[in-house]
Amino acid sequence: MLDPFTLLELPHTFDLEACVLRGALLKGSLQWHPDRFALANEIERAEAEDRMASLNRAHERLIDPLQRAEALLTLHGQALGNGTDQTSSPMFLMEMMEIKEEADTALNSGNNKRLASITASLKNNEQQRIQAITLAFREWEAADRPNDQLDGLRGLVTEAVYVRRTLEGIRPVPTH
Amino acid sequence: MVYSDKVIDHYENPRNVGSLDKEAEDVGTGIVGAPECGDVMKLQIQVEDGVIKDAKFKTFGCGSAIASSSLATEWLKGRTVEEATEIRNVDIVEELALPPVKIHCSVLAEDAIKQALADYQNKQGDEPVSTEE
Repeated sequence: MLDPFTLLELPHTFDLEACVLRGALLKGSLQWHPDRFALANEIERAEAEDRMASLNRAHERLIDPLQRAEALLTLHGQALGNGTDQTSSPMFLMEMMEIKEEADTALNSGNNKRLASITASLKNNEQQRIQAITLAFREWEAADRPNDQLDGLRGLVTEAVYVRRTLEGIRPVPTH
Repeated sequence: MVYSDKVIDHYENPRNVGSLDKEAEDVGTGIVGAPECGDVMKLQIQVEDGVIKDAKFKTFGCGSAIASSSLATEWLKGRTVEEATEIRNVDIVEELALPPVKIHCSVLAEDAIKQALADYQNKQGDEPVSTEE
């Protein structure tokens, strides 16, 4: 499977403005939008639909800075995967666990106010981490992408993904 | 996803949920996570005369992750520290009939056991017992 940058014919870089991404998606749409295949045969139409769906998925991934950072790490052999995390400190993991516990307690006691404040603080936490990731990836690219910075970048992205998953987990209905 | 009866049993009636004093000399704590699913697992052992007297866990994650750590605490109790290093994720997979997409949950539990044992041994000033096969 092609990486999202290649799919959208974009360079492998973190610095992609929303308008550039939008332009790349439009360019791909001009070629593959199913409307252009209204009179084509079924096989061609199916292919166009697949292509258009891949382009949309690639755009969705790259428009989100955290997923864009993950996609770049994957290209450099640093995919996060679903295995045990060997990078985060026990202290960070403990902090995530405590937040989950607090959210659980608030949920069970129907304390919506507390739940809202936990959510707000996690969102803020996520935003700060994304800002740090943005700066770090820019510096890394400016320094010609040294391999010895990859571990650090992976660590930043890993923790931000935890924060996001924790945020997503704060819902009245279990997700899985 | 269809969970096995054993997973559902551990999920609905988790064994040994709770915490031990992580500062205590005879307690080893392991805390591990998997970022992509956001799971976090804490597993603790309390050791007396080389034997694991008590084990507790706290897991935020899917049913398989909860069942894996719940089962791990059951297996740990009564074992010597040495014997505890022999618990492998494949044994957990087999016992709980975990599907391939949930194998990483059992790995998480094995890693939590290893960390808890290492933490305990560290406190005792021992050389860590090798957990390699």
